[in-house]
Amino acid sequence: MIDNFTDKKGLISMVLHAHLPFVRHPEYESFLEESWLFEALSETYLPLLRVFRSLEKDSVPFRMVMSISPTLASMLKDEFLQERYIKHLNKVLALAEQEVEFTQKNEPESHELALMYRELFSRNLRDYTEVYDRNLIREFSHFQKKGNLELMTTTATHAFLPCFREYPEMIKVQILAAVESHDRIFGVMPDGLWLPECGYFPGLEEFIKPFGLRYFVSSSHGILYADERPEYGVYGPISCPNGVHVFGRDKASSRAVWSTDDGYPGNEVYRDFYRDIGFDRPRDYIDPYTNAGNRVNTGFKYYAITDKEDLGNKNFYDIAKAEKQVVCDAADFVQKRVEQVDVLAGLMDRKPIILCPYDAELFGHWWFEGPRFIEEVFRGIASTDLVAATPLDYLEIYPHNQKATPAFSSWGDKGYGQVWIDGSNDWIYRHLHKVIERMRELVERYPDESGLKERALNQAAREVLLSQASDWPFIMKTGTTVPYAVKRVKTHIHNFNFIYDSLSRNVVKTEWLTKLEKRNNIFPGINYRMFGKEYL
Amino acid sequence: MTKERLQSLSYKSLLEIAERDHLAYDEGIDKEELISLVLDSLEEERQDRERLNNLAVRIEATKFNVSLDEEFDFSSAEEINLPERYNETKIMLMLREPTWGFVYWDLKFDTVKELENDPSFQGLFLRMVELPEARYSKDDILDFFDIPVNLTDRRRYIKFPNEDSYYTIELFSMHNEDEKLIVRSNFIETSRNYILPSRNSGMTNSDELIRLSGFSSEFGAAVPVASYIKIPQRILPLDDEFSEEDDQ
Repeated sequence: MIDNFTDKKGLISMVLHAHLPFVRHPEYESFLEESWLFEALSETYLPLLRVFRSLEKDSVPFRMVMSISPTLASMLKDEFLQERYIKHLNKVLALAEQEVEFTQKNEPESHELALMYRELFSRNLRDYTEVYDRNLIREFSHFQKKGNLELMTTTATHAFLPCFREYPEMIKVQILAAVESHDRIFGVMPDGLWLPECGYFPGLEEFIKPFGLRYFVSSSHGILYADERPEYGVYGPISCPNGVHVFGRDKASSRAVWSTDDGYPGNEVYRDFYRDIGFDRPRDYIDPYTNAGNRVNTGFKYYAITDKEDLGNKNFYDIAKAEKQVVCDAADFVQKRVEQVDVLAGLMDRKPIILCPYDAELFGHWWFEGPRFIEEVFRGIASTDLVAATPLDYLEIYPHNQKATPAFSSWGDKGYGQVWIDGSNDWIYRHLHKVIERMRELVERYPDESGLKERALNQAAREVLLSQASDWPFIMKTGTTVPYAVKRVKTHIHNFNFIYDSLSRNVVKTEWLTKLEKRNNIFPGINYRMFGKEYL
Repeated sequence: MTKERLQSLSYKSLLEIAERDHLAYDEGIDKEELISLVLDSLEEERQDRERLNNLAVRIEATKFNVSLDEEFDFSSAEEINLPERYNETKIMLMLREPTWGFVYWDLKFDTVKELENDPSFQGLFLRMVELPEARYSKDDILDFFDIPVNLTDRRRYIKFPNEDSYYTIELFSMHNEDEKLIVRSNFIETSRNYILPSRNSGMTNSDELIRLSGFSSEFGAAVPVASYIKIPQRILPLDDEFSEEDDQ
């Protein structure tokens, strides 16, 4: 794992959690919400892989954790979505050509930026089709095999587990389906589990251990409020009584990136996320490239943050200035971690670990310069007393840790379940819980079906899982694309109920089922019996 | 922008949106005024949301941000209606935060009918029961309080009086002087919201490490240290100062 550790003062563990909900709509010619994946591919995943290649080329010893959710991994592997992404890129490239021409004649200040985007999207298309042959999973696996990445998984559909604590078999299924999916897609069993939204409740570790998962990540206060005072604060893991380890998020390094006031991404020279030509150019200019029927983000953003309050008062983005700033911010981040470790090392009888978990999509999608920040951070770490490492590396060196059970917590707004249980979304739980109970009932009624009935039962299991994504209540709470989130929850519950009723009447419509299987084709090897109390 | 989308809608649809969102308008309002009314309301709603959501939430939300006018869903053709009720008597208690819970319940159709037809029926109430462990025993009840609810109510947020304690919720019907238990919920344990004192005198640097874990601004701004300093017994009730909202 890490060879050169003994002369280092401490470990820094960057953890990027990459997740998108399962959005795949072959029933429509194009579907707006599929662009969540396309934007993340163009702005986060492909740029991150370029960062990894750049570090690899320069022999920079980088090592970090990525959790790639089963829903995202399934979509990355999905041929239908791969094809759609290429179509999307071609459209974006056509828009880029038009923008290059338009800005040259009419908006010289943004011409250089139009050229930059054309180069970026061309490179995305080239990398995606020629370099990676559409297979990003293989590329992530490559870095895992080389020892640069440790890939962990999260729950099957990113369910916020504290909302299902009264349904232990459901929690088991969420973890089991995730582990199986990870093994099928990446060819290895994961060692760590990313708890969606860091949502933990005491006792959850009992569901984690049976799958060979050795650790998970907690919010800082999950560790600090543990049932034993944590000896090292969040700078050393605690071990649940059953031996599953818990690593706590470091607040200072989180804040450096997340803070509204002093976080790096808020610097006025960085590219602004909100101002997009999709809202600036005339409709008849944009529409042929979006097919959305209304104004949408295009990815062409020409302005720097400048004024956070006023979208209209912004300077044009200056590539050179932003590059200079990101190098500077990465150096500052590393320097602060060095200073942090200097202090911590004097207080601890072992080397401290600073765990820095972030949403992967923060880097690139939200913070355009984020992937470069990560690259520079690793280049910086290489010349310090820190070593870039993973929780597993830590456990190899320090297998025995203080026994304690964390407290109920999440990394969401206000620290607990306030985002996922809210007046805007609490109506879903009555239904989500009911379908779990009905699924359990189906397993009892049909313990060993085959043929069409088995297919229907397996699809019912998929629909139950898909209805539980934490993304849907999150969207309902935050107010972005609410109708889609509502429709998704309702559709999966409706699909499940339709199967439930069909089985009760002993009539399964083959054509309807086949269509549904083709549309919601996640977890191809799912076994509905896993909902049974005795399964495993 | 949203305005364009609204302009493409019929006057009737715009009225429906205004009605749905409880917007006050004068009779005979023209289409342009109606559009501007809806737009203002949307903007207000957006600003409220922005105020309520912290940066981390807003950033995470950008993953799902492809357009500015997706608050609207005009597709009624594909409307899916879920069952409003499942004809079951059930009560579920969920822990939302250390001392707040969400409870939802339902009654079988027959039970509702029976209650409605019972001349002695005076109403329903929820009883929050505090227990020393996740097991019900009348003799062990530490405390309880009642919350009246209507026959049509089916969910509620409830504050638990104590951290680190066990609770269950019971749904009762009142009949003259009698109360009848209809259903009892699952048990939940309220969460700790403080750092425990050390049981190990050897943890000499633990105070400092905990301070650095969340209360220090030495390596970048962090939460105020005041709550740490002012609690001499080292059990730290952190109030709102130690929330992820402040953190992110």
